[in-house]
Amino acid sequence: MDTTRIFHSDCAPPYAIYYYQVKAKYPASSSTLLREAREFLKHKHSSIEGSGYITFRFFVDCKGTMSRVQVLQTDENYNTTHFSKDYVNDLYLYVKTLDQWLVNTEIQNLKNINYIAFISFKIKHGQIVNIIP
Amino acid sequence: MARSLILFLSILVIRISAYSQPKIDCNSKAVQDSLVEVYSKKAWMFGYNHPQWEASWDSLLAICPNVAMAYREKAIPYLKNGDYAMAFKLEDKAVEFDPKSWIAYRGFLHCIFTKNYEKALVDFDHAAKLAPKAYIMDHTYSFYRGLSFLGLEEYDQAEKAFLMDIAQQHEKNGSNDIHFNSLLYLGIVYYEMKDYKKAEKILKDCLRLYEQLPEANYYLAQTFKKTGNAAASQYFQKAKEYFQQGYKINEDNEVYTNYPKQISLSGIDNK
Repeated sequence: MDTTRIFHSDCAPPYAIYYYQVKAKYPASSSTLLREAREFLKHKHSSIEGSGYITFRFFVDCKGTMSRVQVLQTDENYNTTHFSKDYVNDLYLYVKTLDQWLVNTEIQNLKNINYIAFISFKIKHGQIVNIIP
Repeated sequence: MARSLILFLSILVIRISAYSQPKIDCNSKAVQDSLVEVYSKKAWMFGYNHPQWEASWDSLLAICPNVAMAYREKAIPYLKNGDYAMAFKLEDKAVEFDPKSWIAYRGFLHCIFTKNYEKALVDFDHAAKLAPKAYIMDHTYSFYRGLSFLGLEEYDQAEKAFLMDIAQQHEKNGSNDIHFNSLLYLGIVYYEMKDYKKAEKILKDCLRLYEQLPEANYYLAQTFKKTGNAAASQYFQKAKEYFQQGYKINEDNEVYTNYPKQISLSGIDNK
């Protein structure tokens, strides 16, 4: 998983600006993402047990490149936990396919900003049942 | 010599007591409200994504660790940035210290932010006992119960909850408009139940209040598609046009997270 930070040279410095500050929620609906993610994992023959949340939080630079990825994992009661590493990696491969991030956004006088976004997978009894946001 | 020592110690005691702070009654609502007012101003000077936000609330909690509001405020950046472990640890503390004020809010977070519908239902059941017929984030508790049952695909329960939500809104004033999102979701529930006649009626009622709502146009189009009504394409087109014009579900927290059954442009195109 890529935890380094990548920014194109013509992007603004990496300030802590969040997706909701620039109205950059990923433009596909949760149900569309859910369908795609399930299909992706099916092809990977990837499965898991248990319930909870796997969240990938990352920078999206002004060109739409994702980097500096953090993974947060909890059970359904929001206690920190760890799911199977292979499954998490497969989910990450899916997250990397998301290529419709809003690019070249502005906030106040700052142009070509990078922003922090996240995608959470809600898992119930081994099945992804929702994708957040 | 002994008298001088006693005199010196007496002066020291007087000086120390003169400088010591009065004991604060952390259980007093007036004290808690004053603290929140002071530290809220400090925190909002920075905003909730700045480290001083948390530091401000921690300063308050160092004085009175039982101020529920401080935990709730401290949780905001964690919640909005996807750190559910930290967010709900803090929300749970808020509920622990003041359940009447914060359990419904936590239920709202379970429902809208983390789609944890089972937990949302538990919280709203408790909330209804503590503060019957109250509202949270612009809606009745029944509205969020309806969304939770919809998310769990328990449509009969969802229908009952949304009908209760609408009845409660009528209680305030029999002639007032019902919230368009109550009608949107009741219409979607009927669509999911394959009760297309009721879905059509309720979604049309919704559109009378918010004609440009893309979801209401979209689900009415889907209803027409199921019943073979030629108007389906017209409403798909309306959903697309209004979406492209920037209309969307009108809820404050929509900027952070998708609402249940919320649509996207690609979803309309792939109908």
